[in-house]
Amino acid sequence: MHMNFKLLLLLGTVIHCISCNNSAKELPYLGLPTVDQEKPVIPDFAFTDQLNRSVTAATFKDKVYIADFFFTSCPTICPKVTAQMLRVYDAFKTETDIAFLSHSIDTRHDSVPKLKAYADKLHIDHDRWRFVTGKKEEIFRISKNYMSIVLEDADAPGGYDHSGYIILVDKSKHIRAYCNGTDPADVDKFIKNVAILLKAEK
Amino acid sequence: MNYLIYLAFTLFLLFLSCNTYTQGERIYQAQCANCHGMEGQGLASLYPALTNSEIIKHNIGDLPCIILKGKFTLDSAGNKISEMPPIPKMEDVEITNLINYMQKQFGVNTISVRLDSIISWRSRCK
Repeated sequence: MHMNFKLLLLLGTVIHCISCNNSAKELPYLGLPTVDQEKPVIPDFAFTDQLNRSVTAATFKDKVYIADFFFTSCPTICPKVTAQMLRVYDAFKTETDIAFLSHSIDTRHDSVPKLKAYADKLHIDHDRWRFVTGKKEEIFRISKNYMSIVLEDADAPGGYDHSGYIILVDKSKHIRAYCNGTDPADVDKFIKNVAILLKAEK
Repeated sequence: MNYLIYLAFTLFLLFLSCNTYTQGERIYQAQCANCHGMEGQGLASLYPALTNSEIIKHNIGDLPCIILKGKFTLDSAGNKISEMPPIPKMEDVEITNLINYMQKQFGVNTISVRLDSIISWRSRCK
């Protein structure tokens, strides 16, 4: 009996070490592969940020970036997701190779000044964290590339239904990790994945 | 003798189920916690923290109208900008329980607010 317990302990330690090593390995490539793209990439885009600047894929050249979808008057999950985005932002405050991209899905109401006011209240650096608006169809379309769901729904609180994912994109525009932005424990794991990617892409 | 044991047990059960702030807590979690946080911590300047809130500490009488009507600012063109959405369908008793819960959690004043104060404060709402 005593021997068995020791064996079990040893086995547990071995499994733990293996899983530790796994987490330090390369992050997977996510998204649905197509005939043309074995590793799906985020297509090029053109949006406008809180300071009325154009934001395109080139804005994030040589940067890992973290994306989400929200709207400023969202009463349900966005406040929680934004709180978690801010946590991720704070975790990498001194890192130069990282940027943040929040897409407003309420393009009708979230004007540039509204996005500016929202960003100001979060006390963030406007160069590091872009809050963007643009053509509604384009934002809705690109949400699918980020594996996120965005729907207009009159019955949903605030008028939109959407998933609260936070998505990690590498320097070659591949999705490498994501998490549920309403679940702080999931975001903890995500922060570790961001650190792994930053190290790998140095 | 048996009768006494039953009585003591019933009283004990009543004591266990007696939490004064149940409804206030439930309303807080459903209507307020999404933005202001479960612990009232808020988020930067976007969603004000309720811990150490001047209104909860010193101007509790303003709370019923803020809850019922929301908060607005005016932009340079005079348009109303929503800072906080209203929760219009709240009974006086619900507001009383919510405010007492918030006072207990985030305030300094532990004296409970009474229903008649709430009724008089809400009559001042614009």
